[in-house]
Amino acid sequence: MTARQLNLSRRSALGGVSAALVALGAPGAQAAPWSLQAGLRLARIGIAAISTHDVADEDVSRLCGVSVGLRVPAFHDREARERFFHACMSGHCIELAGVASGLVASRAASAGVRLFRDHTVNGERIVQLDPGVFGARFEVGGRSSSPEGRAMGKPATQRIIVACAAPERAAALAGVILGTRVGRCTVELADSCVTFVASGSSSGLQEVHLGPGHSNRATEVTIGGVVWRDEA
Amino acid sequence: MQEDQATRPCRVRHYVLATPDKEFVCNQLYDFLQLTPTPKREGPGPTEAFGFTTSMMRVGTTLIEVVQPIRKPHQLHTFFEERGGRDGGFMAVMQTYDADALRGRATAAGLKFAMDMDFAGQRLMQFNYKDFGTRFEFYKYTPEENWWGNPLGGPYSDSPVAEEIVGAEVAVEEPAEKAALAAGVFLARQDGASLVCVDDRRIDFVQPSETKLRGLTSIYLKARQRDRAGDVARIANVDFRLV
Repeated sequence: MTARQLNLSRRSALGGVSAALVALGAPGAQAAPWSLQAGLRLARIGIAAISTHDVADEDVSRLCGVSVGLRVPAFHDREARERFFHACMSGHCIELAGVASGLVASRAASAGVRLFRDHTVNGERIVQLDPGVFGARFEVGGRSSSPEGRAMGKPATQRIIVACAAPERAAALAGVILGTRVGRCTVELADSCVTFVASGSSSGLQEVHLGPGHSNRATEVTIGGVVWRDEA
Repeated sequence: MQEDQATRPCRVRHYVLATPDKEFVCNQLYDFLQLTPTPKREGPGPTEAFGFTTSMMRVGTTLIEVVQPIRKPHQLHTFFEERGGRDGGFMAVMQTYDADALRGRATAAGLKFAMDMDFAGQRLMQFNYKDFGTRFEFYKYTPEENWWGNPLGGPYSDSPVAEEIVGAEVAVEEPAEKAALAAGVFLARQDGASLVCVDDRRIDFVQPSETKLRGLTSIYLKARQRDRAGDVARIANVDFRLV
């Protein structure tokens, strides 16, 4: 029994965008007490599915330009797979680049936020913030820090929407821990933003809004429980 | 036969983590070890009458148990308070084959048990954590292979990450002296400040520090993929080290 990690990326996504973009924060935005992380950016989006069959190739092909990882349990017992999915995969992973994992870990400790993962892999520290607070697992460190997270071209993702129990608190904590500008329920990244919304029946990553020019038509598709919306 | 049992070295059987949030820690472990969550039993768990809930998982032939107190006062709350509110490695559980012989060696070494009682049909003897840095709890299982219902046949999945728990680290003052004392009482081999038990399972005693509080601080797991040796996951303030 194992979990398989599949890279769905057609090409890696999201180049660094100038800090000026960050300065265009939402109305009412306030600077975090730490220096703004101008390079803080979305590196990769992790989704989970019971099986690879739940993710159609034609859907994946539409994610051109977005770095997406799919995690599926590689064992066959249906009940066990569902237990695994719900217990371990609840909360989609949002990998960020441009901030040191040690810094995030120490800020999280100061803010009283637990780390769901605090792993050292190949000598690099990878931390994931408590999905119970943020709805999804925000991860920094490891491969997110690598140049793979950069690519030429337009930013593929404009906004991601995450459902959690307390959106305003999540945004405020995320701003403090990641050291970036926040609005009431929004966290600004260098090239996109994260908006927290109140969770209904389920928390986690709900929607990914892809940038203009990504597609020539406004459409949406659901992959791995996430709505991917082209905003033509 | 009786004499043989009296001189059989004790075995490491499982490790216990204590936390105020068992579900969170179990999910961390399932995530790291890629285990299928252990199914919950119907009805109240066997430990609830003792003021705590418990979940178990298995790596190879060794169990990991996660415990959470459900009432106050409870020794688990005392454990957290002594650590500034932090969860952590709570105990190493070992198997003795002769409770009377173990008691005799402990008494001869000037050690007293914090607990010496029958529990769920087994003889339970727990050393005071002040003696060895963490709690070492011994069971005389009856029958011998019935340690916690023989987990090798229990509802546990196999980790694709680690094939076995091969050791642990305990932070305690005077580590070499503690290793010598434990070796004599547990019938293990001393190797410097380490204890080498049956099947070469080792327990390294190390000096406590600011970042390494007194107690069970690390668990060593044999990585199935050799290139993962050296990776570490910190869970409940215990470093799970792939070796």
